[in-house]
Amino acid sequence: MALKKTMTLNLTDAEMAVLDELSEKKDLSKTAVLRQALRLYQMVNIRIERGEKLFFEDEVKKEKAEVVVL
Amino acid sequence: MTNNKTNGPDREWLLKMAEFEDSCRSISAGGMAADLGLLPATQSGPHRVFGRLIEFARRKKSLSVEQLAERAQVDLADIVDIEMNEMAAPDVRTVFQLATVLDLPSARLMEVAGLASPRPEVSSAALKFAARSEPTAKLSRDERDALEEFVKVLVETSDKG
Amino acid sequence: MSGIQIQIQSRSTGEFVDASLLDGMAAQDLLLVEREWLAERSLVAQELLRAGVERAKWPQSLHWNWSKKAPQLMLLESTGFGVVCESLWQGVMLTKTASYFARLGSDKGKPLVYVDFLEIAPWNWVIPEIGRDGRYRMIGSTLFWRAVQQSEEEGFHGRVGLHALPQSESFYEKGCGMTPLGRDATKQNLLYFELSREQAQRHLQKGGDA
Repeated sequence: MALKKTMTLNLTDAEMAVLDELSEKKDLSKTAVLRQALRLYQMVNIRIERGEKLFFEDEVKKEKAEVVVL
Repeated sequence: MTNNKTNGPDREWLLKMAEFEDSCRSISAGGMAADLGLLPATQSGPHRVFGRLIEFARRKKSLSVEQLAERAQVDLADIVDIEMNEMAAPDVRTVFQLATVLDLPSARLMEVAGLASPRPEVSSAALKFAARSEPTAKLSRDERDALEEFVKVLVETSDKG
Repeated sequence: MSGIQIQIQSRSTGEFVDASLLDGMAAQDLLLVEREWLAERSLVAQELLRAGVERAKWPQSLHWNWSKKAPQLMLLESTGFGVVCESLWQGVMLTKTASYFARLGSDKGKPLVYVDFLEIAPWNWVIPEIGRDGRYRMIGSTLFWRAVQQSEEEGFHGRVGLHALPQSESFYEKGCGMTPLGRDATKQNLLYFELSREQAQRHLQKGGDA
């Protein structure tokens, strides 16, 4: 496996709470949650740079709202 | 017992799995198999029909490929791919745009494009259409009839919801 | 790239030979894979045509091209694994860890390792109709085992998902113990399979103990 570097994160209480909640919900360590978030963020950005768009769709209301990722 | 990756897989266990591996012609896995190459002809049915349908509907409206691309706001390369390439995999937006420009029911067109499970009436109409259509420049009377029959089924099944 | 020593079996002699199971393949490695495999693919196709073998019996990944997948590896979520023996790539697998989520059972919605692609080198294919006996075996099984390992390492408890080509459905169901979950219209109607955390335990315990 690739060598890893250590980083210290400063998070607010609210951010920490969300991290805890996601960690619990997804049954992942906090590190794993952040790793997933980074992978997802990269993947979304690459596809948007390619010209694709990311949507959420409400199947009940049959509505689509565009999500813009910066 | 903890599993230590550096020890590698257990040979006996692998040999048991390998028996099943051997019993298969191929053990390839690939969700985007269409991207990389060919699946047997029997599996490429939907896309061939879809491409042919788009081509016919376009010619019926006397549109060139460029004009269709422009009106549908779809890349020219995508239209060419759809019409010529059996393995083209159009996305939802493209199919929707084409349906609008070509006056075809979008939900049924999604089914023909393989983006939704086709109803039986659509599947059998698609087969009949495929059998009767041939790629020549002008829509012959036969081709016009074949197209109209197919579109009729798409519209009728749309009305039923 | 890092990796571990493994063994695969020679079909002609039955001997177990040393090989490497590598992870962290880079884009250029996939280009090399295809350079090594392309000639053999063409040969197989020619032999199949000459022998008049029906299309349904052709290996369904015959026309694959791994160099087209090389750009995928710039994504953090993608990993390339491969088996090397005799300085040649004998099998390759591409997985993704952030785009797919379990549909099965109580872990529904939780991340899993998705096997994007898995293929064995064409000279390892067994095609009796054209007299091909295949050089090595156990490679696919080894790569699948690695996917389960990766899932465990990621904290996904061994969960794996994949879409099988029709010819390989019984390997994933019976050989790997996965559950078929229906055909996916968005993936050429391929059958989607999942390995739950409970099913993965068998691979992790029986498949990997010292």
